Amino acid sequence: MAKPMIEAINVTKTFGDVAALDGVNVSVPEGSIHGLLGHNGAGKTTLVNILSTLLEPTGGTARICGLDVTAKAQKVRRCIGLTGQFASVDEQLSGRDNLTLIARLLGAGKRQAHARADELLELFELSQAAKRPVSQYSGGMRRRLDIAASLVGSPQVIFLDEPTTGLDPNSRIGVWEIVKRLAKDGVAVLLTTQYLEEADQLCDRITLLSKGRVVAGGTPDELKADVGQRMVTVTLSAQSEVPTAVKALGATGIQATPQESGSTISVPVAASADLAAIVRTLNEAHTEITELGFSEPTLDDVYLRLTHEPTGTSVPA
Amino acid sequence: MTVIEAEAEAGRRRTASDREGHPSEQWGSSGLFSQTAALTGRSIRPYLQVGVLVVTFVEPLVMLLMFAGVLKVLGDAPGMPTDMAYIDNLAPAIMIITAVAAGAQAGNGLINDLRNDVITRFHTLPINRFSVLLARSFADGARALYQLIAVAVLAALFFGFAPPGGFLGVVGTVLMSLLVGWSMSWIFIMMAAVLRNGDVLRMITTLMTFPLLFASNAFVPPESMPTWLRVIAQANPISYANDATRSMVAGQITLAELLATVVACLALVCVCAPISKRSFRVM
Repeated sequence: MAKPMIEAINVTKTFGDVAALDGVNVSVPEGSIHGLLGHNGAGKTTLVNILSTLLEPTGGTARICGLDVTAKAQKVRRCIGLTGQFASVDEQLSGRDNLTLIARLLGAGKRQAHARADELLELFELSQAAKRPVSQYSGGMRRRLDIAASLVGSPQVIFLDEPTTGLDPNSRIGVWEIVKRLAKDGVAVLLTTQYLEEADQLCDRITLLSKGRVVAGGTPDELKADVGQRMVTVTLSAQSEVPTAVKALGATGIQATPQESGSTISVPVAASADLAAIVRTLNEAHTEITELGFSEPTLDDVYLRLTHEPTGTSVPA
Repeated sequence: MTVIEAEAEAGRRRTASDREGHPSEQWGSSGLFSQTAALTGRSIRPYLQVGVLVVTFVEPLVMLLMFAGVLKVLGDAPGMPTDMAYIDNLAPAIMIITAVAAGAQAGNGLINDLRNDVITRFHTLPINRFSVLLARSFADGARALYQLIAVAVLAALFFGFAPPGGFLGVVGTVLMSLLVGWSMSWIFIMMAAVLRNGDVLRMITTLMTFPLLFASNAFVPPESMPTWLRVIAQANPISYANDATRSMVAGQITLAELLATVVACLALVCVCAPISKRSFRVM
């Protein structure tokens, strides 16, 4: 395996007595896309902020290109580019001026800075809007400019914090293409997302975070094999029937999970024969099925599975 | 280095990171000076819109009209220097007010930057973070300079401002007001960096600037004030700044007075700037 460009070793971060990160390990080699998957508050952004030198870790070690992010912060900043959750470009400047400014700050001469800005604008299909103020850009254009801005210094490591949140489907696919191209050029990419589909499409490896802890990790296929079976959701006629149904299914070896509200339970199914078994079991338990549906695995299912393990590892809310 | 060695070196670099020619490798490194210059340009940009330029020009005009018109009667108040026209006494004070008000804006400017998230990106760049604060102070300094020139020109054109100190005296007054305003801007930059809360900052700014500017010798001589106010006015640093600029327009400034003003201003920056730098974080 190529040498890791991004390394988090047992990283912890506490704010007051709240543990935002609790012993997180991540390793990303060059040319690879790594996904941090999790809900709001899972600790994704905190980890990105630590790795991009914005926050200091409370414990553990974080290294970029082999350099410690705390001790060698200024050197680390030479290797990284960050596209934060909110567009960090200057609204009042034009797209070209934004990129030129960053190139100038990185030491480029005036002409070099303009050349680099134009090159990136071309690459990100923003040449037409180069001279317009960013305040007039659409969400997708702004995001592209934001990513372009983090690439001005040709960093070896890129952090993308929820790069497609709030984008329309077309813009989203555009961003995906950019990210894939970056990895092909040898950049190590760490991106955060709330969308399982996005992680599946883009990432070589995924780390699933929940409440500051790594709850699962691996390639998308490994994760899916682990937790991502198709689910059947069964809606019963009354909420009072839920415990009966779960117990009856449990007795036949099928693990059903009650959903947070209402009279719905979700049941993983591997083969269609399972469906017949579920219906039969519920009939025999005298519960009434009012609705039955298939659903593809969502982040919620993955979460429910991983944070409500019967072994009692669940985190108290 | 021989040609072969150079090629080998270039080759190594290419294989180490073969990405789109890697243009940034030919770039030099930037220092505090060039970073500050680039960032000052960015912070000045919003001030250069036509509408903003007009408003910032009109602001001192309104102040001149108000004070020169309304307070003209006070020109005969006891304690006013009788050998000078009231405008010669008022214009330097308005310059100080203008410069300090522009300086107070620097705090809001920094808060806006912090809200903008652009600062987050600057914090991930290998630059000297102090350049962001320096640029902020210089941008608002540039705005103050523009307004100071407006005060001088308008006062001369419409209010008969022609002090004994002559053109040099007026230039000196503009520069001294600029120094006072710039050094005071560091108080507000420091508060913005420490508080990082726009609402609280605005309240404190108003609370500070009003007594600073009005409980001073700017408009009326302290001798005509009630005792408690006189004590405040006489201790107010703005009164000293007004004294200095008034001596300047009168062409009577002494080296001691000049040095005292410059040293006081620089001392203020030397206290506030390091605290601002230390407190300046994004999260």
